[in-house]
Amino acid sequence: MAVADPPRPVAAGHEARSRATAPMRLYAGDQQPIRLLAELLGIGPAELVHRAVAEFVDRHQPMIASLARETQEAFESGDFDRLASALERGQSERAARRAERLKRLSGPPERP
Amino acid sequence: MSDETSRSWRLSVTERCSREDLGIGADWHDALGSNPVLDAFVQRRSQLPEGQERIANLVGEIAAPVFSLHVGRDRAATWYDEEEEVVWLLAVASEHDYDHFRRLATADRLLPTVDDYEALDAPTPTADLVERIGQHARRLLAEAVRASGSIVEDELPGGIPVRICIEPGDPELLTVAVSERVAPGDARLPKQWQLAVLTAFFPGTRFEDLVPFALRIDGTDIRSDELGVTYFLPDVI
Repeated sequence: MAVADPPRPVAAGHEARSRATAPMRLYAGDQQPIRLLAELLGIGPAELVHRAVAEFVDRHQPMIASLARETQEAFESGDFDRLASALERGQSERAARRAERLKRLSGPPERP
Repeated sequence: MSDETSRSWRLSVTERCSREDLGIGADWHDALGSNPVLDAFVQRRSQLPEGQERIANLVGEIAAPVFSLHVGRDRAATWYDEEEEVVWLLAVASEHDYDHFRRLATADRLLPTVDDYEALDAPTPTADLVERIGQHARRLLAEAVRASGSIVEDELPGGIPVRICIEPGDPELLTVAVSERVAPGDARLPKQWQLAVLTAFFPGTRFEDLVPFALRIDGTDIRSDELGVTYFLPDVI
């Protein structure tokens, strides 16, 4: 018999969306689709982006969850070297991505 | 000047610019108050990350949009890296010498280096630091149980600010918010590391159950520098 997942806990006041907002730049071409979808769904742009992010996290869970699992296993088993190595690997990958991006930005702009 | 906590971007100076153009030491903060260009950079780019005038002789030369900052007869070149949320002071030239910027760009020495970016990151954690964070997290959870209903604020080893709160009830809920702003200074926790610290508070819980990320802690908003989750209080305490 399948075991049902426990219900998602909801902290007091969690349903009431945060009213605090912070500016973030978007691609100009995304502004209109965001407004269109928000209006069609009868919600504000901030709520639309919030739901989109939640869906994205849900869809990409395996990638995000693998590090989380590694962390938890390390804390539970005491294998801290393994976690430190995973984080160091992440830093190296980040450095490589940065180098690639800086190389692109140092050159002439790409033609549209 | 805008409040340090209200803007998302940081300000920094490339190592090359500090050394060659400004003639100051490794930590440019030490020269604040005694260098008019640095003072103008901090004052103006704290308000707005970009200027009003792009440096004309760099347009078409490099993809990064570089803006001019006028300080008397000196000219400075700044670039807002939106992806990393850093405004860089790239170069300073006296007497309107815009060719200085062009020469640096041609020599591929204008933009920051990977080392410049890494100087802004929190140091890569060692196994010892990870272990101490795990121990500290357990102590903090125990403290939060005692202070149930109110936020416990602390700093984890490595200078990582954290807020945790247990919401009384049946079942009890735990909210943890980990900041990316590592103390002291202006370093930030890489996202991967921030996520790892967060999950350390929820042993035995699947990541899938921890998302979506929390918006509130104890009825107040999660701050823009924090990543938070709410879930059942782990029974390992």
